[in-house]
Amino acid sequence: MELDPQVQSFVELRDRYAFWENLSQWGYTAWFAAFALGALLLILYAFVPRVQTAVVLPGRGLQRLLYRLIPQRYILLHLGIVLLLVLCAASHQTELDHLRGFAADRDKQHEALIRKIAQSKDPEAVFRAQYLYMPKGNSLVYMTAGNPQLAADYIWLTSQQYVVNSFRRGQKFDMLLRFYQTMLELDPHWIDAAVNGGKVLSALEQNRYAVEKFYIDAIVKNPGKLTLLNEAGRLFVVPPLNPELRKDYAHRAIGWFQAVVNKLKQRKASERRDKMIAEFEDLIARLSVESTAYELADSLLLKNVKDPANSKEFREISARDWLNARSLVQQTRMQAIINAYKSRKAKFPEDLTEITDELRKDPVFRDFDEAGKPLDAFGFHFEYDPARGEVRSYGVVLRQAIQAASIVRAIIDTYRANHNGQPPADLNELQRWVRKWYADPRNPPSASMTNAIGMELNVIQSPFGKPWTYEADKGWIPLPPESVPAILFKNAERVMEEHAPDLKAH
Amino acid sequence: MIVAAIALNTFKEAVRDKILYVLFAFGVMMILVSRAIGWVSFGGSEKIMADVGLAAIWIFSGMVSIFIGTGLIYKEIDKRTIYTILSKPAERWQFIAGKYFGLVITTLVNLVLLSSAFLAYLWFSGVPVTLGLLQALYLTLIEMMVVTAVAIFFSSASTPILSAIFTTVIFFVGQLTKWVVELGSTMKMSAPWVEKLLYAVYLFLPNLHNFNIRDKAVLAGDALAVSGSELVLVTVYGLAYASAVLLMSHLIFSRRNF
Amino acid sequence: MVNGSDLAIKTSNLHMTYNPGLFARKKHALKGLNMEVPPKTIFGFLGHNGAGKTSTIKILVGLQFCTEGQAWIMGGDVRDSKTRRHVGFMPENPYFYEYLTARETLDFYGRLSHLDRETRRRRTSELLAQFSLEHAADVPMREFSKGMRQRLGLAQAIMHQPPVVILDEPMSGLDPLGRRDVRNIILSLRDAGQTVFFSSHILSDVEEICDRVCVLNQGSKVAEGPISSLLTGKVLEVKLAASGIPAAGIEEVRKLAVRCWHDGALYHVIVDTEEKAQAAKSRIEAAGGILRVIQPHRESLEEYFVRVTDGGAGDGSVIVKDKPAEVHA
Repeated sequence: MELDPQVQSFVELRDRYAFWENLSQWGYTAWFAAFALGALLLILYAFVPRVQTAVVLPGRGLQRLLYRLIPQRYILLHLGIVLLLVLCAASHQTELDHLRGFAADRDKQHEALIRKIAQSKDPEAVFRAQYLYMPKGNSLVYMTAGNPQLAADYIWLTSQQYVVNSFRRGQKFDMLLRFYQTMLELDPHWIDAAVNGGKVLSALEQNRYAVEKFYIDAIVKNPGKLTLLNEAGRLFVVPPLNPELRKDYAHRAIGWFQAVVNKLKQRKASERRDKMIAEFEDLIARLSVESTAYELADSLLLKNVKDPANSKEFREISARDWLNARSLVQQTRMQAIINAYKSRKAKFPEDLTEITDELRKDPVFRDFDEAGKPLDAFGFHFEYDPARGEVRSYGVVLRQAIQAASIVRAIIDTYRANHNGQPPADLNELQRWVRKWYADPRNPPSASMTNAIGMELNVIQSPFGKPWTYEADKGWIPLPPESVPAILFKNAERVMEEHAPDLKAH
Repeated sequence: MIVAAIALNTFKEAVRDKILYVLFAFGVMMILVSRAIGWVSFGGSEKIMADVGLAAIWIFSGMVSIFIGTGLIYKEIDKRTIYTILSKPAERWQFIAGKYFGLVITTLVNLVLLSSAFLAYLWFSGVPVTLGLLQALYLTLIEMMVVTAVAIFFSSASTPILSAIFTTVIFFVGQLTKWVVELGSTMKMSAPWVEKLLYAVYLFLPNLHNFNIRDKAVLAGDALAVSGSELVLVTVYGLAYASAVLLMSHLIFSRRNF
Repeated sequence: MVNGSDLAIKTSNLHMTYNPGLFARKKHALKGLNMEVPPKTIFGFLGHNGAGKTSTIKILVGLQFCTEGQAWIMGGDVRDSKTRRHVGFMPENPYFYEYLTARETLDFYGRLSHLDRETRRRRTSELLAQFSLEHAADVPMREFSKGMRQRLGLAQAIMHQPPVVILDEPMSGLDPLGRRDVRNIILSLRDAGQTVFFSSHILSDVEEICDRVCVLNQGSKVAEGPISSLLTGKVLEVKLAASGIPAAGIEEVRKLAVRCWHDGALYHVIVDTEEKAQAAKSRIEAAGGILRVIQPHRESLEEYFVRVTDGGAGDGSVIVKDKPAEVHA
């Protein structure tokens, strides 16, 4: 279970661009040095006497030097003028680049253009403009004189700018997906790039299904490649925030891994093959049971945190995700204990303190408050309904709520944009409008929307199990104060410290 | 005998010409630049190195064929060296063939040198040198044989500038004829005659994309990029096309007054 | 014989028409040239620029194809490449491959002439010695002077020892010393039994070395034959110079003269026939004058050339009847 040190690479890439920026600062120094040299040559030219003589005239000091330069007088003139002309041309080139945009600056200019469009026109025009800007497969084939593999390389290099740049975060996924699809179209058998692209996409987007689609494209083009099947399966190993989707995730992961096993079984028998089959079958077995699936994700993410090859940023992301996975493991184990309690005593525990002793036996539960109530990995109390015997990790709920809230807020913004800036009077009105607006085939709901608030686009019910509070005057749905990352992920740092990579062992 | 003499002479001419070295130097530079491009990228840098290197060899071999080839016969006429050759007991076809083979040898030498530089570079960079890459380089040579024939054809009928333009156009359009047909098939409904016309263009122009297995070669790994029989097929196509073009050149050239 | 197998070169009704393009007029470079070059002679081929000399030569060596008629060299049709085994050709201002050395150049032409390696090596060193190019044998051609190029041009033409050597303007652009060299080479070729056919502008050279000439004007032959029969030795005018003639005597002499003048010291008289010159002489002497100079002026090739080509259309010009060729030993 190894992921590429993706984030590490991004950081390295950023540093490389920084190197070029430093170089351009040296450029100014070089410019002035060249200017000074050119000017010096011309001044010398003016001072060297204009005589034609074969013998070196006698002289002292500076005069002697000037006399020596007599034969080179015209070289001085020409070199000086050439230098100054080159500088003149270079300055104008810089000016032109500034006006028309350097190839690397095109993104910035494009962004400015998009902003301008966004001010005057509807969001659809913005999207259209962004798509137009992207290179199309066919035109690139023509441009590279029938060498699509070069075009694919170009797309790959261009896409990296989008990965590294911080702007346009919202549509980054859509843009990059388009890039990678074009790349796949141009060089369908470039597996490494497809896998890398898929990983970048999955890092950007919670919705696994959209990324899966990209992998399916690649798999159709390369039916024999185990790597792609494996990667597609790995998308679904970490359980989603939305509990509705958890079953389906496991189902899909199992499907892909089963495909890997089938392919492997067609291969010639070997020790290596059998070992691989055993590994994948173990994966499938663990994914089949919800509780073990969470544990799988738990161990995968913890491994990412520990791996010294990963950058600090990537380890931090993994640590935050691990808090979630660990909380889910705690939740499932606690539910099992509660269920056992019920069958033993024919009733649910009144309070979680009743099972504290039992919980303490399991090392998964580490933190308890003074009263002996268990805390989830995020450090929150579990939500417990003694009537139905259901337990939920508040941290998990909160993360899901944050995601859902950001989507609902974005929907409110879209509503305002279509109603002269007026927010909806209440969430029921918003719900009616949402159903109408997104039923239009021209505005399909995005994958991240359905992922966060379900296929019914429910903007009323929050993951907390009650309707959102809605501030109609501001058009805003507030989240509880503990939803800020500093509080929500306060335990992540501890996890990183505890599981600091063992550099020596590596 | 005479063909060999003229071929050798042509090769000497090309070898003692500066342009060959300039093109060669640019080719090597381009191969080295592939490293820098790979360096900016994360992941896939080996693939990009091989892609850019193969493409550099392809384009610079093409330029050698075009720029030396198109001037070749015209220069003989312009400098009147042809007077002393054709007044010898040499047939005109021998002259054409000699010039052609001389240029093919030049291209071959250039290709071999660039390829060795490229493969050595890959090897030192730790990228495996595969049989597929050799196949791609071999087909580049066959492609250059076709391009050279086209260059000779235009050179025997036109001025160097014009023939360089024509040959360059054929060189690039030849890479795209497959897409030209695809373009035609999209117009099947709206303009059927366009489809037919484009298909005729496809049949008539050299389909140089046949020789482009560079994409497959880079990703083939240990396997062959194309099967042996496909390689033979493509080789036969190239040789047949080159021979046809050379015969056409002879047809024009044998009737010319100097 | 029809194909002139007993002749070095024969052309029969040779026509050459250039068709420059859609709108330009056709140009008739040759209009039915009949010419016979006997073997082992030096044959001068004369004519103004554009008279059709170079076209004829190019047809003879296979560079161009005549539109009508036929031509043979040593009995072989010139369109057959085998015929060119019997021909050596040097174009006007010969160019060579700049990057080859003199030795490589000769070797290359030797290969084109089907010579084997041994012969090539032998002939190359022979010719380099003969044309005094030994010092420059391994120098690239781009460093050659014009005279050296011309000599190498001759050398490559006779590399394979052909019975017929065709030279296009071999003397053009050379200094007197270079011209003398070329002249000597041509003479030595004839002495070796080869036929030399060359075109030239420099008529004094032609007159000096040629056995026969052919004069072309606007694509047609205006004269052909041995030089001796073309230049009959007719006296065109006689120049006399005398001193001490009394005024009365002068009047007598003036009656005979085409022109006469007094330059302060001598009295010059030009008359147009030898008879008149004799009469003038006796009159001068009768008048008591002293005859200082009497100089008959015979027609030169140049004057003949001007006479037969001057303003003349190709047809209706003088054709001198052939005498049997005088073959030098």
